[in-house]
This record gives sequence, C-alpha cells and structure tokens, in this order.
Amino acid sequence: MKKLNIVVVGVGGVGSALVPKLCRYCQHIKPQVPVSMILIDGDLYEQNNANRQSFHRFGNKAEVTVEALAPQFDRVSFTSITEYLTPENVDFIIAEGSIVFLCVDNNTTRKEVDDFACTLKNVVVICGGNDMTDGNVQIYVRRKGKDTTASLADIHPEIASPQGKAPYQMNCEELAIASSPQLFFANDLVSALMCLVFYQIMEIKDFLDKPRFGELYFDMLIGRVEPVVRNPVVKVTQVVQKIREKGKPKPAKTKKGR
Amino acid sequence: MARRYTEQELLGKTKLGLRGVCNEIGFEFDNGMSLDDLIKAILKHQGGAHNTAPAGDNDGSDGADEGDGSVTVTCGASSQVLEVVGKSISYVRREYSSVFNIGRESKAMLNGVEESDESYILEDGDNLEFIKKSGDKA
Repeated sequence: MKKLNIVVVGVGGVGSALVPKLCRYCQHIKPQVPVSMILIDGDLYEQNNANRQSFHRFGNKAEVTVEALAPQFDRVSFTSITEYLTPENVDFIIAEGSIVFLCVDNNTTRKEVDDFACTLKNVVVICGGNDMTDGNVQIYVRRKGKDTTASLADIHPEIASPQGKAPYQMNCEELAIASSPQLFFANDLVSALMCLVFYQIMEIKDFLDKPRFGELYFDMLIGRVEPVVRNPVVKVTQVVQKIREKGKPKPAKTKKGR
Repeated sequence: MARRYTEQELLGKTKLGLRGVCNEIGFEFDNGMSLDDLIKAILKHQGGAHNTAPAGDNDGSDGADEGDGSVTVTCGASSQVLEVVGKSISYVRREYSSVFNIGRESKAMLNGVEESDESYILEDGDNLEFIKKSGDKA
C-alpha cells in the first residue's frame, strides 16, 4: 500500500481502545507509508465514561483523543471531526481506498456507512460491536468495484432495516437513555479483533481479494472466537443489470467440423 | 460437549491447527506423526465420541428419519457438528435454541446462502448458521 487512509467512526468504548493500537502499529510499520487517520464523533468525554475510556480532559471525544495521541505518534496525520457521521457528511469523510473502522452503537449509522461503501470501488469496512460479554466484528470489502465479502446489511437484517435512531437524530434525553452498562473487557476484545482484521489486510497479500473470513464472533463466557466466511451475495438487481448490459443473448457458436 | 471435526475441516488445518484440535477434543498430540496420520488418528478418536441428538429426535414431526453423516451448526461463537442429517432446519432451530442461544428472528443460512425454507432437510456436510445479531454497543 502506498498510503493508508484510516477512518474511525465513533470514539467510544471500542473506538478509544482501538485507536492507540492502530497508531502504534502505523507508527512502526515497515516500509514506512504515509498514514492519515480521521476520527469522527460528536459525543463528549464525561465522568461516567471513565470506567471504560481513557481521557485526559472532558470534551469532544475525537478532539481529546487526537490531542492525546498526536504527540506520541508523529508518523500519523490526524484529523478530528467533532460531529456525528450523517448521510450529509459521509462522502466528505470516507474516500476511495479508505479503511473504515466502524465503532458505533447503532444500526442506523452502520447502514449509512454500508450503503455509502457500496458506491465506492475500493473500500474496507470493519464493523465491531458488543453486548455485555459477547460481540462480533464484521468485514465488508470492495475491490475494483466488486464485493469480495457480503455487505453488513446482506447478512444482518437488523442493519438492513435498522430500528431506532442514530445519535445525530437524538436529543440529549434520548442520548442519555441510549447509553447502557458495558464491560471494558468486551470493548477491548472487539478492538483487538478489529486489529486482527487490520493485520490480515496489511500482512496477508491476498486477504482483500480472498478474505478467509467475513465475520468474527466472540463469547467471553464460553471462551471462543468463531470465524465465519461471508461470500459476496449476488443480488437480483446485479443479475438484471448484467443481462441489460449484455443485451439479447447471441446464438451459440457451433464448431465447424474438420 | 466437544466439537466434532469433519475430515474436510481437518485437511484444511496446519499441524499447529491440529494441535489445537487435539487439545480441544482431549486427544494426545504426537508431533512425530505425519499430517495424514494425525488426521486419521483424530477421526478415529472422534468416532467413539459422537454427539447425540436430543430426545424426541425421531418424533416424525418433520417427516424424516435421521441419516448418516453430520451437519455443522453455528450461531455466534457457538459451533458444533451435530448428527442431524435428515432433520429440517426448523427442527434444529427448535431443539437446539437454548444450546446455541438462537434468537427467534435469527435468519438461517445454509452453506453461506440465506435459506428461507426451514422445512429443508439437512444433508451430510451441510453448514447451517443461525445469524446472531450484531453487538448493540460499542
């Protein structure tokens, strides 16, 4: 890779555990490549985040995290965006060739990123989430305009038809209700599995063309991580499109006898 | 209940991977054995430790008898090879819902493709997954 464009959407429990790990890897990667890292989150670090998140002051999560990491990792070019990701700003934030780490707690934003990624030629979306002691990391890869894995919504109906609101659609009261108890270990495990995927992308030559898995599930109570293959889903619309592109079928060629 | 591996799954593993399998199924790993011999030994070891289907297996509700072979059933991080050949997807959903924590709305995927017809009768080597929903938090 000539350049790494990393986008981290959401700097909460998972995002704030993930970013320092990514930075450390990028700082020491050989051969050196320019690394740009965009952090986007409209939420604020508050006292009640201290049980799961590390911060040196209160304030916007993206801004405060960049403030802490930039002096430590000079090879990473940081940008903080102090608002939530929305359909209006998604095309400004996620560019062709980006590796997107989706660390959000709502399916509406997941769907928005998934939908936008479908329109790009080359993109990787690594989406992580957890409940109290289990969770998953899903990968969506597009290469040269084609899916090499199923999209997030292809597999998960709750992402395809999200219930509830994204944070940018909520008022303060709704945001307060939306935050529920979580375990730091679960957040950290999601972030570690997201790093595992990133490592495969960086180190395994053909991973993006032939991903060995498209989703990782973990369960801390039974002590397991289960990789699952997610082959791209052939959509009816794609088939119709291909037929339209081809036009009327040509008569089959027959070999002439000798 | 230890997972039971198929020959195909074992053939795809390295020696290190087989070592992990041995640990998992409680079989003593012998580094001196060739890959082929190790796989044969694991299969032989598993032969005496088949998983058993729950009671009411042949209740006729699905109109099929249990056949030979096995099906890999997965939901989230839980995965087991079960002897449910000849049973329907709806049977597995019903009988194993608590073992695998299968949600009512979990969609079924058969060999990587969504299968909406849950009366489908499972065949040897099928891979059945009930999709566990994504983690809600982050």
